[in-house]
Amino acid sequence: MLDLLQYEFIRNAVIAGLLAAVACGLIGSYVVVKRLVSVSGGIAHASFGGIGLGYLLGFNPVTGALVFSLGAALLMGTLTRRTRLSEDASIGILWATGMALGVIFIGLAPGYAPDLFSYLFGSILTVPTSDIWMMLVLDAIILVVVALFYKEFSALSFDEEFSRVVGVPTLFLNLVLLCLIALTVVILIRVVGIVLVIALVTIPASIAFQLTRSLKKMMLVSSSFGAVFTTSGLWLSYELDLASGATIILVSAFFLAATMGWLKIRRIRQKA
Amino acid sequence: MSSVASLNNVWVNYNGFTALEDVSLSIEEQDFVGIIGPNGGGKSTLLKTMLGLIEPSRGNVEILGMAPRKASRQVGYVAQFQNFDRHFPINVWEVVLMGRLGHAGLLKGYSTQDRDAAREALEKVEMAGCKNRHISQLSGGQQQRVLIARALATRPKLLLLDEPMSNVDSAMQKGFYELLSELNRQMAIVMVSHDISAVSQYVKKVACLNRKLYYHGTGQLTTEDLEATYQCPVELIAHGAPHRVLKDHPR
Repeated sequence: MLDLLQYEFIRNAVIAGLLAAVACGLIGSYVVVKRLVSVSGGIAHASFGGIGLGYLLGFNPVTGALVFSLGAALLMGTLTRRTRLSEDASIGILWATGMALGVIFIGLAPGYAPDLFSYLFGSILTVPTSDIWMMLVLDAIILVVVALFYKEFSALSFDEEFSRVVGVPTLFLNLVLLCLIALTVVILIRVVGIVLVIALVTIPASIAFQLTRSLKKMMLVSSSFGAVFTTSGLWLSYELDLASGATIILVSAFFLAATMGWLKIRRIRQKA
Repeated sequence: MSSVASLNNVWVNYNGFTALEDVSLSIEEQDFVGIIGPNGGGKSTLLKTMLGLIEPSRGNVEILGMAPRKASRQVGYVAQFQNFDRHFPINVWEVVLMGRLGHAGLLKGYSTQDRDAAREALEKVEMAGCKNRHISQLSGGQQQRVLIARALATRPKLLLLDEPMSNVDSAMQKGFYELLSELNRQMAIVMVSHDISAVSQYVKKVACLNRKLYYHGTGQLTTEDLEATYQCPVELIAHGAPHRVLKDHPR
């Protein structure tokens, strides 16, 4: 595999995978322990509207996705508080509305949208260097914000009501966390695509959740697993000529099943 | 004696439903008040109003001479259900430190003072030895002790407990009430419970709540209060020492 690294597109793909793993480890851990999986799915799909707008107006679709996913995150955080809509309903509404906007925008755009499929299902082998820089900046933002609010985010995820009682600004921090999920979505779009984003947010963190008993370790372990999955999935897809995003997800799912099987066997052995 | 908490003619309505109706209550230093009443009678709502989690529709609430939201970081609170995931990746020490979040402030780590307060709180509930255990490795009673330690870590002047015995098996309850009596030397306690007999042995004052509050500022309950609260005839069983809570009444 090492000789493959002489190609720039392979190097970019590996770097993109590693950058994605950092975001998955940090934010995926919160998504799993705070049960934000559907919210994340909603934010990811709503971002498709921004991709479409990018095609229509001729700017980088990833920038459009960034704006739309942040907008969806803020709307999801406030709709439930300000209206009588349930969280569940607002997720579904934003999810489908964002997708619909994307379809309309692309339809209005002149000509054929050639790499549309890559935004939906990922295309790690075609990540341009400019997007690598953007992913690096977004990762840095996530890292800094999580470091700044680590104790509050942990408390909020564990027991929101108590956090509010002792004076944590829970409304504000919930919105910040949703925005970090939006940034994570944007980082992952290039790697696995809008449709498969939730898998990479959830699977490494779910494996780590079963193996660790502290949030910091969980973040570290899920980042490491994320790195293993993106690189091994990339290699496998290259060798077998399969779609890269889907291969990364299937490798992850296989490891999750293997971990659960191994834990089950260990538990049975301990009892015996 | 100064007032720790005072509620004056407080009404709470949600979606056209009245949860609290004209409730007035005054809690003094060293008070240990038990609030009993049927499920859905507004017991948890009353505590949440005192914490500023619920805004009253009418009336006025003052805690430690302040608005409840401002005072709440000096109030210890133990909620009714342990509404968190037992497998959440967090250990006892991290849970107790949560009580210090309001003191530590945003963008800063926990100070030595915060750690001291958390350590002291764990010692008070006799859980210092379990500091590094994961929460799933504790029994129901131990978890409840940890949650009380978290409330104590705020160094509260007022401790609010919502059904604190619901996860504690009956053999352990006596020890728990003794712990609360001990804590009561340093702070006022308000405890919500549906267990009339247990409350009556340890608390100093009893109130009945079923939308309206029936409270005389004494440890004695009357049949009329209980019947008004539960809206059905209630049979009183008098306990002996340490407190006689119920007056003599015809049997």
